[in-house]
Amino acid sequence: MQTVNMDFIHDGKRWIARTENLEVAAASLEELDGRLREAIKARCEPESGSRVKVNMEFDYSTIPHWMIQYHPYYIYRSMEFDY
Amino acid sequence: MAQEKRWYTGMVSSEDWWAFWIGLFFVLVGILAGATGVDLSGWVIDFPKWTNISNSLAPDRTGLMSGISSLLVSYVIFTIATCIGAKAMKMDMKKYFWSWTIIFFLSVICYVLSRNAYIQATSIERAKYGIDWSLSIGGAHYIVALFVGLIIGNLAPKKFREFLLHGARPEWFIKIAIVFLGCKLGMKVVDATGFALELLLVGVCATIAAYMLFWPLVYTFARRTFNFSREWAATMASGISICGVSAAIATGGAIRARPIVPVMVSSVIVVFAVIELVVLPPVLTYTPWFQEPMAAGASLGLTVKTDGADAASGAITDQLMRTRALEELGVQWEEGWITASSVMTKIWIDMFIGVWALVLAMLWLYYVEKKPDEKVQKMEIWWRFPKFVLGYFIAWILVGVLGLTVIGGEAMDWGIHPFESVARHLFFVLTFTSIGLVTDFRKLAEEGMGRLAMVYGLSLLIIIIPIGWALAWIFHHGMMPPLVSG
Amino acid sequence: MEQKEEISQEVEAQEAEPWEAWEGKLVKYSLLIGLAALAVLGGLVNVFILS
Repeated sequence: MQTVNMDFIHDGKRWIARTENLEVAAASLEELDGRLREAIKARCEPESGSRVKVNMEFDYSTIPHWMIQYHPYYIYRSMEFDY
Repeated sequence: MAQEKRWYTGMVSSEDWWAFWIGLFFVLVGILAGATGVDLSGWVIDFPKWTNISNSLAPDRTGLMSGISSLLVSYVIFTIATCIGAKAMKMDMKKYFWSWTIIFFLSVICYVLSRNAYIQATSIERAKYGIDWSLSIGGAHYIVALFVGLIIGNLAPKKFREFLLHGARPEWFIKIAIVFLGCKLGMKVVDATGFALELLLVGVCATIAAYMLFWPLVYTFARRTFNFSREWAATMASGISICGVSAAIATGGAIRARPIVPVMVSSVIVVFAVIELVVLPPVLTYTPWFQEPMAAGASLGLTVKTDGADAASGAITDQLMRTRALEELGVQWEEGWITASSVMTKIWIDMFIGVWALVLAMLWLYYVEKKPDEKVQKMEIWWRFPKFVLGYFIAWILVGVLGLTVIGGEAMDWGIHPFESVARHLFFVLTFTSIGLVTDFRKLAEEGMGRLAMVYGLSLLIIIIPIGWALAWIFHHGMMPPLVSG
Repeated sequence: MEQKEEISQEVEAQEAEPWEAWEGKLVKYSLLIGLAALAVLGGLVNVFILS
């Protein structure tokens, strides 16, 4: 199974998921996931019937520095897209 | 770029793990000293009460070196330890080093000045210091450090305040101190009393009940009375009911809230935690709670959010109540047990946040928002688990088991005391100064904060404090700190 | 800073979703578990540890 690891952030208005050669943004996570599924399909061309795993870790450095000492991370998402 | 998260992720990059490593390293040094008889731990600086300022500094092991040498050695060793951690966490080293240095010596000055016998000596100690009056304010060093931190954190020039935030790490410092506190409970096992274990058991029982009562009540209050949306209400309910900032981040993450939600909720939490830290210790000490010191300590664990403010309020209450007990009842309670009681309930609360975050994540993703592609990771329980708690329990078990078997109680006490007692107090004072520095009261004046602050304050007054007090009493009443022997 | 102000204003302006049945259930079951824990654990602690 192919695995894509991505960072994601929220810029105040949109969720933005990014990796070296891919960036997708949307107002809601639901919308983001839909766009991501399509972007991966276009970029990685997964075979029909295959599954792509996407790990998304929230970029914790965008959280105020003073808060980081209280908890080790914010969101870690693990998704599986079936094509 | 992101990497797949593993069970060991964060072991060398998170503050929580670095509290574990640093705390446990010094505990092991103390155990090694006890086992070998080589004085590896006596250098730790102590701050005795004084009438002549030249006697205000001393190493824990009297005669090992001068007070100034002990201070410098302690500074160098603790600086190296925390700088290694800061480097591994990719902090700006230059800024961390200088701000840590300023905070360290600021804390030392507060500690020294407020240990003056006229301020802290009890009436029984006056003759020992050759004085005929004293204010008998136990724990004045904590209060002074907090207020100095608050003054600088709120009134100093902005550039300087922001610079100091690089080294003001109250959660990190208190977690290291809590690992040291684990040794104290270990020594209690060596003393062959079941007291520490009883405290552990009643702490977990009180926490389970508190968790399941606080959260739904605050959630309902925020949703129905103040008309907050779910992401705000759930994050706030966890923040105020569970473990403050940590819970707000964990819950915000679990329900996929926008990051601004836990950020704003956290700003309110730290301000209220300081207000509680200042108000609750004297309230508990000078009301009928004084008759129930261990329950009073536990009540702080259930009502004061953030580990730093909870342990700090426990430490002040410990000092105030022991001073009052000595003055009015003529009994000398052992130091640290009221603090231990406040920390014990808090530690259980901290441990459960991973489980609660997992429950909320499953509920939100599978039931509320129905995201079929996304899988909730059961590993979240471990990833969100507070690792310093492992250090606390490992220290407890190591000191207890080795003290009972190969090393022996007396040798263990000799080796571990400098960390279990004086280094712990020093890290508490560092925590107090840092809490003051990171608490910005101006946050409450920001637009939008009023409604959050109102819901938070009312929840504290109407739900958290009354229920927390009741639960603390139900699960701890009649427990008393052990008396100082000999 | 501007963004922060915008978001602060959002706290005032945010619209709450209507209260749904599942929220009532979540609250009800949490409270029931809490009260049961209080009764059972409180009883055990008082009999075996505090008495």
